[in-house]
Amino acid sequence: MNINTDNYEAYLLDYMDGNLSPDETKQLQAFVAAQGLDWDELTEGLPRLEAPAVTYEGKESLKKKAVFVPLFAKIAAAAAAIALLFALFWKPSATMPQQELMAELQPRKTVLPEAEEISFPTPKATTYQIKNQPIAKNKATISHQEERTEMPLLADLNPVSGKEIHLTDDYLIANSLLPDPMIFNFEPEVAFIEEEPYYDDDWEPSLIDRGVIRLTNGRYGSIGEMIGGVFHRVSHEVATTTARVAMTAYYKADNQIEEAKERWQEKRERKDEE
Amino acid sequence: MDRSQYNQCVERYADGLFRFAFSSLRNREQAEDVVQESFARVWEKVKTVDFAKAKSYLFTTAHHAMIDEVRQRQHFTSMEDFSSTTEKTATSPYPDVNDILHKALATLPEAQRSALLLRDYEGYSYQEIGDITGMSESQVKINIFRARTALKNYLKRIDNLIDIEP
Repeated sequence: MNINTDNYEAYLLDYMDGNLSPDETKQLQAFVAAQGLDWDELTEGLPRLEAPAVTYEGKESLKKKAVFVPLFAKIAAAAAAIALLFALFWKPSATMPQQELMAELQPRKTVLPEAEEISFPTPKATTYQIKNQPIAKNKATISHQEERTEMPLLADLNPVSGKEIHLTDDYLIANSLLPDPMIFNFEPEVAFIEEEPYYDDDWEPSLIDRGVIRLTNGRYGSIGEMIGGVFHRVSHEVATTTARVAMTAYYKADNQIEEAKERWQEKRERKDEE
Repeated sequence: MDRSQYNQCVERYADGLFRFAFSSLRNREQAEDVVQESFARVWEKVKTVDFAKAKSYLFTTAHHAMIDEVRQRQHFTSMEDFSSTTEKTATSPYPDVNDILHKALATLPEAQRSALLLRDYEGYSYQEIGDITGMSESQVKINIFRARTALKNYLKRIDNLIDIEP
């Protein structure tokens, strides 16, 4: 015990909590006496607060209710999850090189008709400004792209790698679909949270099956936000790439991987016949 | 943490969080703002906040929000006395029996008040209070000791006033 004028009050509290040994108590009493302080005055009659019974009336408004998600959106989300798992764990067989499978898995015109291509408006040139927000932190450099080689199906993320992200208020992307912060040096915590979107009949389901929905306020979000209710403002590049990832994952779901393998097998057989 | 666990947090901790905020700010509306902001922050990070640590996360967020609130209040209300301004607008949820002590709380420095409230209301350990407030364990103990001493002296003064009344 090293009692001094800076810490003796902490020891007094320990004494009152019954956490000092008899020997330590004697040391403390000796210190107090040496300072000319009154032991009883210091240690007696110190009040403790009793917690009043208080009820916060707004609990129900704080709680989060499940958001209705259309079936096709659920299917898309599930397909994306399956594809992601596939991307992480699938190892190409010796008879089918990974590069060829990737080529077979490219989205086809028949499932991505021109008329339904998602077009994002030009992002604002200025960085989003909120008073009192540390706007300087809203810049992050994406790096470590070499670690992504083990995730071949998400290779479409490459366009944003190595570029500086400027957060804008143009796009809202679900937390779950942002580039992995463990892989990319991205700081989602400095992004901004929007309030939960209001869903009504103005949805455009044709976009939902692409992995991206347009909100009724005219901005874009992803299927993830419908489930989690958490989404962020991100740059045009991240928004575009996230949409592409969702779309890629969707169009490269399990059955399409099987189809790709079959196509590859057919090609191989035709070649053998020739 | 998932949505269900988040809702459990609301059910379990909203009352205590409001009590903590109200006891510091002495203003119902501002205390409600702190509660709402704290839960909004947790929901924002719901996927990364561990359910077991949600309470600590909530109180840490609330503590910071209250510091901001008090700073803003000092900025906008200039030199007006903190306790006297809130006294007029606050609707106290406390029973009269504890009213004197809770009024005395308003006279304490913020660090002493927060540490004492977290200890006596929520039963946090000194180490946990240190984690929430950013103080060392020793600083927490000193602040709590000084807070109790100040409350004791406040009660003494009240006693003296009652004694000299005719």
